[in-house]
Amino acid sequence: MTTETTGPGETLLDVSGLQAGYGPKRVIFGVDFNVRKGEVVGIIGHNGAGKTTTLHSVFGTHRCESGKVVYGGTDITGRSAKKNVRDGMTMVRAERFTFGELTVKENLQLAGMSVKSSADREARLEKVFELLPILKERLRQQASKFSGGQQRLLSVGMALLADPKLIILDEPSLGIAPGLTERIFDTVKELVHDQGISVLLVEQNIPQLLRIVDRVYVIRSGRVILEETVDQMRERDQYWDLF
Amino acid sequence: MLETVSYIDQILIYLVFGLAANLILGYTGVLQAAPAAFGAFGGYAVVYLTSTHHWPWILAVIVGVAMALVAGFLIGLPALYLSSLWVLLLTLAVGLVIDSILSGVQTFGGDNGLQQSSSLDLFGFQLNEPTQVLPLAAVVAVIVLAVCWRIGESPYGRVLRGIRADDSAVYALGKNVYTYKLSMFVVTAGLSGLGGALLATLTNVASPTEFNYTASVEIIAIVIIGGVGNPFGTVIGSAIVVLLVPFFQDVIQVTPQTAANIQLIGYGLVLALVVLFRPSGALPEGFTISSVRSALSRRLSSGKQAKTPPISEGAAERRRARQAARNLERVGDPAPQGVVLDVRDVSKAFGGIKAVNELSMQLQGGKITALIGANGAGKTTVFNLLTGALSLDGGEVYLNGQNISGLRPDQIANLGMVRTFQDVRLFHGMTVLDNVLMGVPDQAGEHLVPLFVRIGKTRAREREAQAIARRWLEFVGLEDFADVRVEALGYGQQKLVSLARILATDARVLLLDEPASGIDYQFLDEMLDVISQLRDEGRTVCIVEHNLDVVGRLADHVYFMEVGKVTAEGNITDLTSDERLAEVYFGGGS
Repeated sequence: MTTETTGPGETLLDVSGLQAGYGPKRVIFGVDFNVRKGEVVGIIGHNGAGKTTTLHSVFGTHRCESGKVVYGGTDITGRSAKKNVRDGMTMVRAERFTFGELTVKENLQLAGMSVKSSADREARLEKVFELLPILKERLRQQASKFSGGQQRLLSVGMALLADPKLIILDEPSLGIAPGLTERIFDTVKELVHDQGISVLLVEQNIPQLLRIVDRVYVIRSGRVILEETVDQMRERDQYWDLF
Repeated sequence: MLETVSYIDQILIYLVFGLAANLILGYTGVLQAAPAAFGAFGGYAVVYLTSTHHWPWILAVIVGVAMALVAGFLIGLPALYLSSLWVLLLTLAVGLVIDSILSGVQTFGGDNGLQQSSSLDLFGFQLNEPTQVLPLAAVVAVIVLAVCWRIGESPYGRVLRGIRADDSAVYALGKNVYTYKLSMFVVTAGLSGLGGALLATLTNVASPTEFNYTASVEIIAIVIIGGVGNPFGTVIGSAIVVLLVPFFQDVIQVTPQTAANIQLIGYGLVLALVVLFRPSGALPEGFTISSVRSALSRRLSSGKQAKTPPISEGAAERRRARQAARNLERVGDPAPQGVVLDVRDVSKAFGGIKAVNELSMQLQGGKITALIGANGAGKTTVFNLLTGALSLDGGEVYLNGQNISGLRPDQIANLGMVRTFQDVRLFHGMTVLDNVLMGVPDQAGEHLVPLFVRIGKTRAREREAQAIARRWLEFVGLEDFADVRVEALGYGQQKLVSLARILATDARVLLLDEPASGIDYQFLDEMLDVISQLRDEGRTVCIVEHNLDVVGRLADHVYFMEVGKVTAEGNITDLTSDERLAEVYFGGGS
């Protein structure tokens, strides 16, 4: 995909010709897309289109078979997720992902370890508490005692704490009450605006997605078939033909 | 020569032990830490009864195996109520107790064990030399291999693998996990008893060292090295473990004494290497001659590149799914009238938190009821209480007028109420088809007796079950993925598999936990059609859902939950227009 001049900043993540699969079954066939600094990019597509595999291949939790992932000017193809996290990438997986044996507080402390300045960490924590007051009320509760939706909230809170440059969100609205989904999306938008971070978002709730993204890529059967700005996308009265 | 035959005997006998252990450890995933200990019943019975009381060998073996079975039953009965880690500790303790009794009681010969003093024979065939034992060991090993293969690679084995992956999901599909675990625990104990009898026959001695903790480690090593859940792998595992001693003696040329000393280090090393570099063992689960043949023929037929099954091609797939939905055979039952599920004042507390607090609700027959509320309001807990996954602190639940409070999840499922899970909970390591097959009820092959006695019926029923499962897969548009392992699917597809899995149960009351979350924009419509169609068929449905569009389009009645209580009910328009509820839950833009 060619970079347009209308975007907010320089390219942070540039993915080209990415291929990946499971054993003999290829799932993505040469996916190209990019994310610029301070931009929210959405990826949509049908179930099984390869969205989650794409995210995991970028993040380093799934093996890329070929193609190239460039992040902040460095080729990070096939690099481990550990290094990517150190370099400011963070990911909220579609499945719940919290440390069940640890308390809410300990989960948050772990997530905030990458933030060096303690003042900054406190400020971020306050922001997370403001957004998700339940985390503050239940600081000493074991994460596994949370309901499914609450654990997802905690995992979103952990991602927001980690001082990321790029947040990868895989279906953040899964299992979260509608009013709260809206607030989480608003906070993501605010973080992008205030701190210039970038977001790569996979979401089936398209109306919510369109509230915060700048650009959208449509993946069908493992290939990018369309790239549109949010305005172009909003003009569509329905999205069926995209799937 | 004699030595070689003796090693072959040992490989065959340890194969019996290994196959038995593979059933409980490999297939079922129950951490039985003392597989050798149950061999002591067979071993000591043979030597003691034949030497002291001059019993015929075969009778002594039968008594030994029977004692092992009884011991397995008595130990398994309480142990299998415990979680996996406690089973490990308990069986470890049982192994130590049996070892101490054998070493400490003079009747059993103490540390030296019992020496065989009589000549043994089976129907006139002498069993005193390794060469004489060989045909018997071979026949027994082949029979045990066949039995374990039959158990493992059948609908029964599928249930065992399901239990290993997620036992509460197996309960929720109407299968009594405890009975399966106990059956395998007892079968393993009995087969180990048989192995012990053969071992004592070969060595002419029954001593604690043959059945102690070290021996158990050897057997566990056989299972892991050979391949967990693959009986043919166990053959390789047994050969490697037994031949390690002659390898040290004859290839590396150390003294027998040193070989015996470094033998354990050898097992440890091989085990560590396997776990590090080939964790699935020499022959991984599902790796059989026919699977290799079909993989080869796939490769040959499609040239260099292995053929990739087509991935869902948007529109075409939708069309097929819709068609399948139309073709779905209608179940003849008329929609039940009135209240099908009556929930009266149920409560559940976790520590100090009252997750569900005197909640009452009703599901009307042939209608869709929705349960909505903020995260943590207690919706999923309600499902857990209704299906018996959690015990009630108070209140009662009636299904079709029958009080189901206190019943187990499998009993409730068999009465016709099943649920999906918010976090999907498919059986990982199994194919999509196998996952759906787990839902199909009344499978003859899921019970031990028909599995061996009514082979034809089992096979016919399996074909029927496969047809049912494939039809439901087609229904959710995933028939192309039947042979793919579920963990390779995306979240939305996994949700569809979990729906197909409970539809296959043919239950009349369905509790669906967030059926629409993660489902793509277009398939959502199909999903809503599917769920509406279930209602039209007369099924009663309750959904927990955050997507208000879904709730609005599906639900005939909506309950709104806050902190464990129903605080409002009605249709979705009434609820969304309530200012307070909009404030606490719905938000501005939805």
